[in-house]
Amino acid sequence: MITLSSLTKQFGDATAVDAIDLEIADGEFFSMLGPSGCGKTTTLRMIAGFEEPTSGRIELAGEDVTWTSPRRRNVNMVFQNYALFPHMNVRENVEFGLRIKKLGKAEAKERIERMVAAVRMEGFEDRHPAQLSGGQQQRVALARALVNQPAALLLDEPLGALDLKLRKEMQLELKSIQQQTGTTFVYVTHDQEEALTMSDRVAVMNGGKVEQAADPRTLYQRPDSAFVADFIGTSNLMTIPTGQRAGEDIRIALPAASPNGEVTITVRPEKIKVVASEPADGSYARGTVLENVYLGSMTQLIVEIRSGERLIVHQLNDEDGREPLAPGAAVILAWSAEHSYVIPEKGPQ
Amino acid sequence: MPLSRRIERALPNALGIGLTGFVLVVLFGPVLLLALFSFNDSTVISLPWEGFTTRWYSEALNDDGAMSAIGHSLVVASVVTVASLILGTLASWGLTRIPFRGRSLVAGIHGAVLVVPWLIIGIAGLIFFSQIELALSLQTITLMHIVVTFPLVVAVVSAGLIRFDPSLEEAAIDMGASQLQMMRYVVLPQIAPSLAAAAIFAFAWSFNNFEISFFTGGFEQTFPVWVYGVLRHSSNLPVVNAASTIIALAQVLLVFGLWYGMKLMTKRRGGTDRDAAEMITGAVR
Repeated sequence: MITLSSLTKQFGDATAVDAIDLEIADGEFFSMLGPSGCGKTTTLRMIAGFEEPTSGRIELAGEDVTWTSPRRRNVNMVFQNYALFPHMNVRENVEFGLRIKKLGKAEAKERIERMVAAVRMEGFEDRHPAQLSGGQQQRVALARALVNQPAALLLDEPLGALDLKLRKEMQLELKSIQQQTGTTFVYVTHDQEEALTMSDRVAVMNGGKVEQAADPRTLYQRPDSAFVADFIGTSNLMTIPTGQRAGEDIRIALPAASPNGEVTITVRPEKIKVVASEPADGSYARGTVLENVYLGSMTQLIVEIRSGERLIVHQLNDEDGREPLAPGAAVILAWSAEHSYVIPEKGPQ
Repeated sequence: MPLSRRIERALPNALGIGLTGFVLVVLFGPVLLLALFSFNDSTVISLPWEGFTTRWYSEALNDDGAMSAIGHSLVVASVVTVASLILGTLASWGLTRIPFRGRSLVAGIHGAVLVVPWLIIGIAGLIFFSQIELALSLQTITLMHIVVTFPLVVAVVSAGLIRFDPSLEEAAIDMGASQLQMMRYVVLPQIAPSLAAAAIFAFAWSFNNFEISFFTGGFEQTFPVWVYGVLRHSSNLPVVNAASTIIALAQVLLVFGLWYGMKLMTKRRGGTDRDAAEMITGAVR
């Protein structure tokens, strides 16, 4: 288990990581997700030991490692640019950690062979990094780190340099290697889709703080903040003044037990339906289509409702021959009360 | 294809070849001419050709003055190379990896030494040693040579270290390597081409240096100073010529050997000829 307690890192006057608390369980695929500059990489580098925290504590398996040298921490890192040693071949790269630890020849050989097989690089042992593709280098970097049998593997945007198709393949492969070895993965990315695809839990970070740490489903369905709602998937954020907003053109129904007073709600685009007439209950809004974008499996509509807000609506293209709604068409949008998710008030910061 | 078009297409190529040829002749013509005349059976370096001889070579090889001067130069250049390589590599590490106040100023001072004329450094050395009343000798020459080769090594090795990805160092530490193991297994093999280039340059600078050796040397002469001394009698010219040809050939072979070795090394690592060229020119940049 990795435990971070009020971990803080300041660079001069700037606070990169602001008193974060996290617990990462053994065998978990844990992602830190956020825009650039949110402190996710700094946090990862503090766990690895390459950055020293300004204050706070880092524990690995119950042991305080806050001031332990990176070479004595039982974690290994996969770097964004792979950082393979160019003058060593694949086998020598994978062997490096074991050579330093002076592991017995027979055991080292067995572990290297098993690891090279796990990342499907058999037959490439004598190649040098310059002779490998990006995806292959990535797999060697993974093997080089995992052969040390670390308590946790730290990955710093490891797929950032790969093209989209290869990235998707590697996502599945990373996940399967993680499950196969049972190693804790701490994964840093700015790609929300990547984080959702692979992770057991995701910490969404912003401005050096953890906005929310939860499983992907919870993050999507019950975001703790407007930032999370906006960062994970597409969302329609609306601020609703005290009481229900109701008029001729709009009615917003909130779920039972919603707080009184002004609230911010988010409605996911796929929950909004285009209907023929105002529904008897739930929410609806009249508006005009501004734009329709064909996305293959679905069509994205941008609708301006009468109050001037713009809502994004996703319509599944599950019927052939349905005419898309042309810009300028008047529509009624409807969604049920429970799909107006009320974002919790943030406590005093 | 019409003739005019063919000429038009061939012209840039022909011009290129012509210009390259001209530059080569200007650069190496005089040297090759001297080498040629070192086989001429005459004390005068000019035509007519008096006949082929290796007399000057045997005279040069049996000349005590020439041999001891070459010996002195080899010893000085070797000590200078080793000392400036060690000091320069340490300084490069500090300048590229350890942040400290005034780092760019210190780096600038290193660079400045490279553009000060050797004549001035030689005279400065002479004044310095006479002020502290140190007798001039091969040791004082060695010291002053290190003064000029050390910043050269710093420049070459720093360039190599700047091109070197620091995340490789972190990766080594991450896998349990100590600073020393990281240096030994990761950094040194990577900057080996820069070190080799720096060593060659430091050796050549020291071996070929005249101005500093002339002013800060004592009774024992280095090869260039010996050449300057004996050339006052023109009858010595062919011997000097033969000795110089041997020295020049040895240096050319040394550099080509290095170039070939580096090519082999990059080939083995899966690189191309271009990578090898890049390693050397990169080291010099």
